[in-house]
Amino acid sequence: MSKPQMRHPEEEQILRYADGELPSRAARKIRNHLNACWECRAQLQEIEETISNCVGYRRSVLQSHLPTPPAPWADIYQRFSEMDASTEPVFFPAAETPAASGKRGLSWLFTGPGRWAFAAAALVIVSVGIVYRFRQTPSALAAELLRKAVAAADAQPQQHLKTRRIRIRTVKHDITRSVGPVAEIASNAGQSDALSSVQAMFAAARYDWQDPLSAKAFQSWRNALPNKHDEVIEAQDHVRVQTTTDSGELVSASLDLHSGDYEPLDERFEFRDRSWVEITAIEPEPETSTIAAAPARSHDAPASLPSNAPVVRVPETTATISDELHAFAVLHKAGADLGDPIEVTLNGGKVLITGVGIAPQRQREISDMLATQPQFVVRFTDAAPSSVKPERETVPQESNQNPTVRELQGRLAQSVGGRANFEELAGQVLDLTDNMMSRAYALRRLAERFPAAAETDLNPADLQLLRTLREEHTSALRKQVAEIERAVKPVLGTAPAGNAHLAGDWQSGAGQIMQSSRRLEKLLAVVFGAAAVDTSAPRTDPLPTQVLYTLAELRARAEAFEHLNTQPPERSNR
Amino acid sequence: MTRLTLQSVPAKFFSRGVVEKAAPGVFDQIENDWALMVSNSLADERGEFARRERAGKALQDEVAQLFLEARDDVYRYLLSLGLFPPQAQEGAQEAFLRLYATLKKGEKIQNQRAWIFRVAHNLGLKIRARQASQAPFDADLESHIASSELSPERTLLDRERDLRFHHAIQGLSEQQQRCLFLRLEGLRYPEIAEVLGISTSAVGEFLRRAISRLKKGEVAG
Repeated sequence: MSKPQMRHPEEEQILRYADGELPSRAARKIRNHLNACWECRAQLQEIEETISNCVGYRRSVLQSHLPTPPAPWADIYQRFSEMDASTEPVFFPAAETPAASGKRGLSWLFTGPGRWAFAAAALVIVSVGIVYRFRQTPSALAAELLRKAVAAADAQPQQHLKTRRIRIRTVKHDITRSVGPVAEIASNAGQSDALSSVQAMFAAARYDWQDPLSAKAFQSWRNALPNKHDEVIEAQDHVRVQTTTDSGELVSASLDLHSGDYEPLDERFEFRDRSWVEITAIEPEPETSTIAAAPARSHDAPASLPSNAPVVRVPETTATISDELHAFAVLHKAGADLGDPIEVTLNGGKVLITGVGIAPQRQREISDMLATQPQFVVRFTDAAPSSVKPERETVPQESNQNPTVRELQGRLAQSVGGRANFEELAGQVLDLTDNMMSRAYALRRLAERFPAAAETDLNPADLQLLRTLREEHTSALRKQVAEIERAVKPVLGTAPAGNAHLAGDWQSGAGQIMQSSRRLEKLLAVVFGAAAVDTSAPRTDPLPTQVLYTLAELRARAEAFEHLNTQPPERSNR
Repeated sequence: MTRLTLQSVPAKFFSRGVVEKAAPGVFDQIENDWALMVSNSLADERGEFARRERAGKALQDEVAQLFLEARDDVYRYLLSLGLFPPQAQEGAQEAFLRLYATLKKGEKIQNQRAWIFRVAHNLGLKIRARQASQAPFDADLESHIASSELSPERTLLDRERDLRFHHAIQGLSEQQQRCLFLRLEGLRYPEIAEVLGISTSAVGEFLRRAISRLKKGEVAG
């Protein structure tokens, strides 16, 4: 038996070793000793047990028995805004910019005796001027954005001629109406009553009701306000102008404009009596004239498909987004929404389901299941070589790797007892990753095909169906993530606890899940040898840490997403 | 744009005649430089503003996210310092607002969670000093554990184990408790050292003693 390489370390050394607080040399010595010495290993285990008792105490005593906070937590964003408003601008980088740019010309001032005073005086004046201008800017920016949005709308006269539909939500009602040249017709008496009550609110607030979801209406209301406070908030694809005022019936209005073309997307109004109204644009339906002509054309295969593609069914009625959803549900039932190269599109009044390179047996199965609906058109074509996703190599490659990764893999292989075991583990992890990705893709596909605006056209049963599809994919995804965590735990350790908050609708949540999944897939592929390391990546954390953090992030996001699914749809309004 | 000229500088800053005599032409030069500075800065203003808006929002989101994740932990830590619940909650909120203000000043903070605990700790001590009495953290907790309901998930044994461990924790010195609680919140030794104003090796020693006493307490119990 080999002798322990050093005398028994102090208990504090062992604790510091367990806590990762020792320098690497000392840690290596302790590790070697622990490998050799059962006594010290038992001591380490006792320490770990006490630590887990402490963790248990935190959970079962501190978290459960301490009094909960006496008041609801403050709206922290509100407090930020108050801080921003109450203090002088805490930082103003522009004050440095002019100083830097002016320094070239002013530098001579610093050379003469006592001349620093001029520079100081100059800086004071310039800074005051800039701070003054900066404090003006949210209003100026809001005004400029509105001006641009009005100009963009005016530049498209057909927009004004075309009748658009908008959805109006209040505490009690959810109605749609059209705006534009066609006179609006309420479908029933209830709708008409609700519309007139909202119209009265807008009239009292002096807000244009002809075309309320427009930059022009917002602008003319805003311009008429004696006192106002503006905020401009930029999001990924839209920019929000929010104006609050203490005069009039309407105390706050916010308008979301599409970042690219300044098209109004939605609005929220808050009235003095605490009631609110939300207006959303409804995506225009496909042109009805083409739908009328569609059945005759549906026999012809699109140019991109071979002409011998079998046409399974001819549509008799006009398909809607609801039918499209049902096609997704059927495919889901057939397990054909997870990586089978099948596309579902709503095209010319029918739901077109196209599959490429699917085995004949599978083609029949899918066609049979889809045969229930007359609106479904199913087409299968043989695989076009270029359209097939290349199989990922799951065999770890020794070449094209950087030394850090090779070293890491060597270490991991050692920890699982050899290269063969490591390769087996790698195969397992990469399979799990594939399954996880197919769920993430499926979720994103749903989000793309059923954007928030399209959801308004779905009835409650359809919405429930859509939610069920999401739930099933999410729970499967969470399961895959948990399995990946379990699989990598022996070699990489435990992923930290995570907490995610998904703001906005489920569609954007699905996007974030996709992001995390992609990142995780990439990292796992590098660690387990299926891809070369991305040297352009700016992160400097060690790979295992990155994997664990991404796992934690994805786990938390999926959890938050699941939570989001169980919530009724709600506009994030912050 | 208002063009800044030398005339708009209040006369009390300097006397024009004196300076003109000392350095002829100096005023023209200053005026040119100012005009350049102002026009540069105002031209950048729009882009600068948009950048600032984005940075400001990202910063708010960053702090708000941490607030969501850590506020209860900070609140409980302040309770453990002997603050009453309303003060502990207020103190916890305050710590996050200070983080926001500090980050907004452009300061870099390596580990924001540890920073929050440091600020909360100092705030907590100040608040506690102002309090007429200290909240009976330990005693209240003990009676709460003792009277907690039993259920299939939580048996008598669990309750006794919790009480025993709580007694063991109570038996630790204040510094040992502080080190242990902060370590439980995920802080590393140097971060704990900074919160408590002691050396890293002292943290190691306090933690060792704490673990060692808890281990013995477990065996004894």
